[in-house]
Amino acid sequence: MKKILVVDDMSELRELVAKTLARDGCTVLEAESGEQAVGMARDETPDLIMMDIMMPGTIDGLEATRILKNDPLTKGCRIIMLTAKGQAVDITKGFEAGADDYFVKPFSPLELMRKVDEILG
Amino acid sequence: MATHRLLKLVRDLSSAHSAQEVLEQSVDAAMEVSGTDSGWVWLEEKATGIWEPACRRGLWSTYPEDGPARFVNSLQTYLIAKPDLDYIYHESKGLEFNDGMRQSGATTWGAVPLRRDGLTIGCMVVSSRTKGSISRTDEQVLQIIAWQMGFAQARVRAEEEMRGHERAHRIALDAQTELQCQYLPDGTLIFVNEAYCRFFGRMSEDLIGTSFFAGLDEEDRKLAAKRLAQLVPAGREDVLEVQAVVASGDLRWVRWSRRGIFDHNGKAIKFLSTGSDITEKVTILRALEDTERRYRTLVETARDVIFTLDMDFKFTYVSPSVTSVLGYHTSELDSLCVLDTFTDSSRKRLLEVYGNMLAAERKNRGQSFSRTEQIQQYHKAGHTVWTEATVTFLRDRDGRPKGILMISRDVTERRHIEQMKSDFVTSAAHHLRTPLTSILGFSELLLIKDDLTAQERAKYLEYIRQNSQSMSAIIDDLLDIARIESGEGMPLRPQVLDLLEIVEETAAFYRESSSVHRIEVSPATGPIEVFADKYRITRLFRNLFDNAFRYSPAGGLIRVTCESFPEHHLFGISDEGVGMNPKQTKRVFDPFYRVDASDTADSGTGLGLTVARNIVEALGGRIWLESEKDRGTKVKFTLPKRRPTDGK
Repeated sequence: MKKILVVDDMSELRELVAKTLARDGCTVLEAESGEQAVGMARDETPDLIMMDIMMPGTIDGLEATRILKNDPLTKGCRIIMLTAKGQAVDITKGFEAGADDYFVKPFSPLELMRKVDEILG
Repeated sequence: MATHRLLKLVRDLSSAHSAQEVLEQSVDAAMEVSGTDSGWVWLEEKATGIWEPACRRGLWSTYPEDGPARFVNSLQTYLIAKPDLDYIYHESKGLEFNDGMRQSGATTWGAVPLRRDGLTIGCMVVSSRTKGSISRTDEQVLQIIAWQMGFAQARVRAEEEMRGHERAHRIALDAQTELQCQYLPDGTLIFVNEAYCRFFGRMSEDLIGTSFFAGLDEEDRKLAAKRLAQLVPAGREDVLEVQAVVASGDLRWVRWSRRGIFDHNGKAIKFLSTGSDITEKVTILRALEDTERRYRTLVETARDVIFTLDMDFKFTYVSPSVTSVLGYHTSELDSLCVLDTFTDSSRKRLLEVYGNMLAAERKNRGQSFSRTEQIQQYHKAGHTVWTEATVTFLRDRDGRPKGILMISRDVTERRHIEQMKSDFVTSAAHHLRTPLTSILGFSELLLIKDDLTAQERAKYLEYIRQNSQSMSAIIDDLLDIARIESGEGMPLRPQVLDLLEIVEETAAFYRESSSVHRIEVSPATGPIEVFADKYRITRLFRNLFDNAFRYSPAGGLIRVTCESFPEHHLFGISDEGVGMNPKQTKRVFDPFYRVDASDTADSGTGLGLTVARNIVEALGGRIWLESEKDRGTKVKFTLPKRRPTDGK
């Protein structure tokens, strides 16, 4: 049973991503802030995290990614950034924080599905 | 002993000034080292080919000038016939002179031929009445002396020739132009040369007895007299430049060099003045000064900063406008290198450009090219300033780069505006992207997912509709802002409205959407009539309600008030939310400015108040706000009661 955590502060977008990735043999969890994402990732150790960057609160998506990738417990989680920040510098920052892949909004659900299939095998 | 004497001779010869001195010093040395008592030099006279006596020393100096002619003739014939011979030693009973046998008794003599370019041109002879007094060593030393004499002669002759040329040149020049006069301490002329007479167009007789100062104007006269009084014996010459009226009636510049002749008490007897016409020089200099002044004025009043630098980037000139751009006074930059004022990246960039310029210069010398770069420099106060610098080489007369000219312009403001525009576009794109994500995402889901329920389908379609609406609203806002900023104004369709009705309608919508907020409108009964565009007024209140709700997430009272004044209505809408600090308050009307810096998608587009202000102002009103951190915000605006007469 694969576990996917979708992190986004907008419920509508969480719903979009969750619905895109929902399939048999897959559990989709949701978090609406960086703090919540870190907590849930530690509790649930998901296989994949879809991470937004700009979120209210003290921990944004980049920081959350950094924390999780430096934590032995969650280091193995694959993290895909899914964000409206699409400039080259942003993408570089994302990979520097430890992201495994980077998706820019707006995105094609079909492409995202393929990418996730590829990552989860 | 011989060596010592030779060294002395070499030293003496090196400072000898005339050919005669050279001969005398050489012959004296030759006599000394050989222990002889007479010395003679004969040199060939070019025109006749005859050897003439050039120098006589010792005993021979008392003999008749033309010397022992037969002896000389035979010596000459013999030495010319044997060009390889470099010394003759001979002992004879006596020498025959023109006036008969003047020197009697045995004579020992040694002769060294003088040769130039392989030709025998004369002979040096020393002699003694002591038999066998000249040794083998002496022979060699005598030869050395003869060579040295030859070298020194050549040098002296060359020098004399040169001096002769100079003198001749000078004499010729002086004869043409130099003015000369002499006058008594009171200025009375006692001598004038021809050039002087020509220059002033008067006869010598007319000038003698008049005053040297007569031709000068009042000021020059005073100066000339004062400086004359300062002349002292053995002091420097006085140089005076004055204007004088000449033969043609023109005013010309004359430079006078003056020196005094003094008696033994140091009292001046007379003055000698030498003058030359320097009018052309002065005219050229003045013209140069004028040009220089004109360029300087140009450079110093320009708003651009003009630097000149040497090839090590040290300042050689900075125009005063640098103070307004970089804060430095020009004098403070003297010791600085221009690169010191650059940020690291700009320094790197400029050195790169400079390197390219040098490379291009090597490839194609003298080609005039300049480069323009935007660079960041430090202001004296510490902050940075953006400048656009045009860099080009300053060249010497041969076209070689000898310095750098840099003209730089402050583009900080321009860059700021460009940055704001670029931020605006980035921000606009970003805000359009959020609803677009939903639209594209959900529409694709609807297309590819065949397991969606009817409810899901309806919900997704509703999302798409809502997000399309919100995109459309953002685009309207953007277009409005663009129109306002370009000065086009906002298109309005004004009509008489009851404002209270609109407020109530809008409030009803918001009341439904929140359980923690209360909305209170006073006065509760209307009508409050305004002449306005219904669509815009609704937008205005929606924007203000949006903000009031968004920035009071914990809920509370939202109060809308209206007061009537003779000319206008004053509206207020207040919340009990997070409020703002004064710095934030100042910027809230800027496009895309959002108080919540965390950049969350939920915090709105940052266009709400910008649009609100545009609407109020288009309707002839005014908008402002009062806010206190953690206490809440109150937005106030006025709308005129009467229909604007100017048709706005």
